[in-house]
Amino acid sequence: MLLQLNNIFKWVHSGGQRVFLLKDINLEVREGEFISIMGPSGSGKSTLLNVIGMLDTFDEGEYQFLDEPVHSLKEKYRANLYKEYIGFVFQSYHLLDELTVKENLEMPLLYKKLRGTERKAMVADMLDRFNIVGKKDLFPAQLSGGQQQLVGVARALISNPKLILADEPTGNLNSKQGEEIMELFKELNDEGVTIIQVTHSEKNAEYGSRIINLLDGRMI
Amino acid sequence: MLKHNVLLFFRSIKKNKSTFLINVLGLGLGIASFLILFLYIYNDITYNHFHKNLDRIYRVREGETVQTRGLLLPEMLKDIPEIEDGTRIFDWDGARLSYGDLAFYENIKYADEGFFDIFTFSFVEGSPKKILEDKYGVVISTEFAKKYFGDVPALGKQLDVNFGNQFLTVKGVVDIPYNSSIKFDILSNYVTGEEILPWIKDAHNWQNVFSITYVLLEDGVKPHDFKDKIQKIVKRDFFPTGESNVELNLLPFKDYHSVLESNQTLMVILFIIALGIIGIAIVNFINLTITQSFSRVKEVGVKKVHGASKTHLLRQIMTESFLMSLMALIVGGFLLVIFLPSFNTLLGINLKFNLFKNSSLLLTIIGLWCIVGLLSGLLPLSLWMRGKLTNTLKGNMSNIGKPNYWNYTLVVVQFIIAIFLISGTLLIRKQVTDMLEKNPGFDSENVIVVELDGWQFSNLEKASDNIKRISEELQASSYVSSISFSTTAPGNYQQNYNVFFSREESNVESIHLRKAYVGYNYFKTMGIDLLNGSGFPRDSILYKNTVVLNQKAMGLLGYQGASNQILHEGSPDGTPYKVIGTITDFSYQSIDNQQQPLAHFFIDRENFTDWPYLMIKSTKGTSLDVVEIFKEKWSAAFPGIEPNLFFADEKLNNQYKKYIETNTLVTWFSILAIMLSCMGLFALSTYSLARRTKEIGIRKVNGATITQVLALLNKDFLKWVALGFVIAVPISWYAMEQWLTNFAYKTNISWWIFILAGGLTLMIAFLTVSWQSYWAASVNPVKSLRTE
Repeated sequence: MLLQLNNIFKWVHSGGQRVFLLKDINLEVREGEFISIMGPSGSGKSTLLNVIGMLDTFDEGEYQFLDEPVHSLKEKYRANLYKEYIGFVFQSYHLLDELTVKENLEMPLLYKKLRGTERKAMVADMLDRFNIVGKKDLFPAQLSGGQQQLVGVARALISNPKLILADEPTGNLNSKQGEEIMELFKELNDEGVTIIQVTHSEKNAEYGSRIINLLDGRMI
Repeated sequence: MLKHNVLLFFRSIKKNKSTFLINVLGLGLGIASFLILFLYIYNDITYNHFHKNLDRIYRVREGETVQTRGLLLPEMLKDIPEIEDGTRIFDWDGARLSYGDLAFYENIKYADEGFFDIFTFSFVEGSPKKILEDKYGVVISTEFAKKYFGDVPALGKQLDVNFGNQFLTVKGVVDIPYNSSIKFDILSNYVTGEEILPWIKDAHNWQNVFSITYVLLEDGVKPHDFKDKIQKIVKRDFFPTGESNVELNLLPFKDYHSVLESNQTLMVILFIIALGIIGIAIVNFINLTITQSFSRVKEVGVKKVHGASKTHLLRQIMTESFLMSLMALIVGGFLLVIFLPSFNTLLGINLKFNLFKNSSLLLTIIGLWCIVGLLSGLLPLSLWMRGKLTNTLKGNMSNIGKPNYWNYTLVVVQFIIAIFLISGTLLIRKQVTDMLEKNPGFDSENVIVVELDGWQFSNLEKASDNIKRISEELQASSYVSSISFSTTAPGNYQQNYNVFFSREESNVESIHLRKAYVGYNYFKTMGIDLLNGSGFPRDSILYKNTVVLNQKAMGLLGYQGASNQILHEGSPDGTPYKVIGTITDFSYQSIDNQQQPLAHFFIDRENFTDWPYLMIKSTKGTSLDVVEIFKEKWSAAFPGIEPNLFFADEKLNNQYKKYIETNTLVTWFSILAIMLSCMGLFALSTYSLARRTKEIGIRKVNGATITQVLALLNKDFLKWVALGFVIAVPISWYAMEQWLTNFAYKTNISWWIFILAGGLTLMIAFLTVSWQSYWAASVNPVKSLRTE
C-alpha cells in the first residue's frame, strides 16, 4: 500500500457558512497504479491532489503515506516525506525562467546532500533519457510548450520519486504534444512509477488504470 | 549552492535592469551623501588628534582672551616644574619673501624652540630635532615649498627677505594635516623675528597680549594642581604691578577646536541630516527590494515544492541582498570619489576618502553593508515564508497588506524635506541676486580701484614718485573725472570700531563709530553723495581733527546735519573732532551686516606707497580706456610688476561668495532629496499597484479608459505630496524668516517661491507615479484577470 485516505474532509468559511472542498474522501492507492481524477471545474480535483501531495492540509480524517500517519506529522516531517517520495508536474510547467534546462533539472538536487559530480551525472542521465541533451543550455522561453513540459516531467523524476502527481499536465498543450506526454507517463508507469493525474479529458483519463470521479468535493 | 545563487542573482538583474538601476543608484547616492557628511563630521571630531602629546597640551588664556603677554611663558617655565615645556607663537606681521623671480607677501610666524617638541608634525624634509635653534633657519609647509620651489627639494634653499636685507634658510618641510588648528606657511624662531621685525622686542612686555602660548604638562598633571603658582605670577609681574586680577586658565588643546573654532550645533544638525538621508535611502531600498520580491513568489513556491527548506531560501536571499547592497556601496564609493573634490572646493576644505587609513570609516561602511544586507534580505524572506504554498505556486501574494500609514508618513516626510530644500534654494538665490543688484550707494560702474601693494617696491622713494606722477597724469586725462587715495575700499572697511563722546545736544552720550582714513576727493571719486556740509575736497582748508559721518551715525546721534558738532574719541576728554559733513549710507560692508555708523577721517601720506588704494573715477563709459591707459603708465614705471586692478564693487561682491556657495550646496541636497523621495514614491506605487492589478482589470473590463484609471491611481499618491506641501510651507517660511534675520538688507519671501517649489515637486512626483501607473493602466485586462 502506497497511501490511504480515510474520511478526509476539507472546508473553508464563506459568508459565515462552512463550504466543503472535500467531503468524506476514502481512497487507497497501491504502488504501480496510474489513477486519473476527473470532474467538472470546482469539484475539488486539484485540492485532492494537493492534499495527497501534502502541499495543502485537510481538516478532518486520516492520511497514511507509506504507513506514516501524515495527519499527525509535524510540518517539517511532512515536507521531508513529500520531498523524498513525490514528484510534481504542473499544468503551467513551473520551470524557473532564469535557469537553463540543465539548471532547472539540477535545482531539486541542490536541496539534497549530493556532491556536484553526482548531481552532474544525474542531470546528464535525465537529459539523455528524455532526449533533450541538445537543449540543455536553452532557457524555458526558448522551448515549445511540449518541450517545456518534458523538462517539467524530467525534473519531477530526477530525484527518483515513488509517486508522480500531475495537475492537468496537458492542459496547456496541443493534442499532439499532449499525446506525447501521456505516452511518456504510460512508459514511466510501466517502469513502476505510481502516477496520479488530474484531467478534464476522457481520452487522457483512459491511459490510467483507474478513474476517480469527483463532484462537489465528493467521490462518485 | 553559492554559485547557483550568485548566478540566479545576476540573471535576475539582467531581467529587471531599470528597477535594479534605480535601486542601486538610489542607495548609492544616499551612501555617498552620508559618507561625505560622515567625513566632514569625522574630520571635525578628530581635529588635532595627530599630535602625540595631545592630552598634555594646553593653551594658556587670560580669562576669555586667547592671547597672552609675551613674557608670561618664560616665567611659567621657570616657576612651575609641572610644566614640562612650552612655546609661544607670534603671528602679527609679514614680509616680502622672494626666491629668484618669485616674490610674494608672506605671513611669517615665530615660535620658541619647544614648538616641535610639543606638536607632532610629519617632516617631509629635515627632522624636528633642534630645528628651530639656528638664527635665520625656517621650517616651511609643503604648500609653501611647492609655491616657491616646485618639485625640487627645498632643504637648504635661501629666501630673500625684503630685497636682500636678510636671507632665510629652509631647514625643514612639514606636511600640515588639514585638520590642524595650528597652521603656518613659514615658521622661524624669535631671534630671527627680532631681526626682521624689530618691534617684536617692544611687544613682549607685561602689558601687551601679542602671544599665542601653549604648554606641555608633565604626565598625570592637571592644570588646577598648580593654579596658585600661575596666579602668583599674575600678582607679581602683570601690569599694573600688584593690581592685576587677570584669571589665567589652561584650555585643553584637545578641546580647542570644538570650543573655539568649530560650530557644534552645525555638527549635530549635519549628523541628524546624515542619519536622515541614509535612513530614508535604506527604507526606500528595502521597500523596492520587497516589491521586487513579489514577482518572485512563484519561484519560491516551485523551489519549496522541490525541496528547498527555509535555510536554503534564507541563504539565497541573503546572498542576493548582500551582493545588491555591496553594489550600492561600490556605486556610493564611486559617487563619493567623483563628488568629493567639488564638495571640497565648494566649502574650501580638504576631506580625503582613504578607506584603509581610516578604520572608523571602514567600520562604518561594513556596518552599513551588514544593516542594509540583513534588513533587505530578512524582510522579503518573512513575506515569502508567510505565503501559503498552494497560493505561492500560482504566483499569488495573498498577504500583500495595504501600504500602512508608516509607509505614507515616510513619503510625506521625504516630500516635506524636498519642498523645504527647494524653496530654500530659491530664496537664497533671490536674496543673493537682490544683494548683488542693490544700489550700493557708490559708483560701481566707473570707479576703478588699484591695490598698490607697497611691499613689492624695492625703492620706496622712487616708487612713491612714480605713483604720484601716474596719479597726476591720470587726473589730467580727459577720460578721468577724479582720483583719490584711500586706506579703505568698499568691502574692506576693517579699521577700528571706537567709542566717541558727544558734547552737543544729542540722543546718546557716546557712540561706536567704524573708522576710515581717506585722502582728498574720496567721496567725489567714489560717487558717494554728500548730504550736507563738505567732504574732503582738495582746497586750502586743513582737515585736521575733522570727521565726516554717514546718515546712520547722524541719525543715532540725533544731529540735524553737520554743523561743526564736536565728538571726543575714547573718553569725554579725548581728542576732539569736528563734524563737517554727512554722506549717504552707502554699502561698505557686505549687506548681511547691519549698517554700522561710520566716520571718515582725512589723512595725508608723505610716501605714496603707504596708501593701500588708489581710486580712479572715469568719465561715463570710458572705464576700459582708463584701465588701458593706467596699465600702460604702470608698466612703464614698474616693469615686471603686475598692477592689481578691480572695479569698486568687486571686493564687496566677493563677500557674497559664501552665500552663492551655500546655495550650490543646498541645490545639491535639494536634487538629492527629490531623487530620494521619488524613489520612495516609486517603491510605494509599485507596491500599491501590485495589489491593485485585479481591481484595474475589473474596472477596465467594465469600461474604464486608460486616462480614467490613470487619474484614479495618481490621485491617490498626489494627495500625499499635497499634504507634504501643506506641512512644508509653514516650516520653510519660519526657517527663511530666521535665516533672513542675519541680513540687514532682506529680500521679501514671495509666495511664488512656495508655488514653484511645490509645483516642481508635484510635477516630478506625478511623472514618477505615472511611469508606473500608465503601465498598470494600459495592460490588457485579460492578462491581469487571468491569475484568478
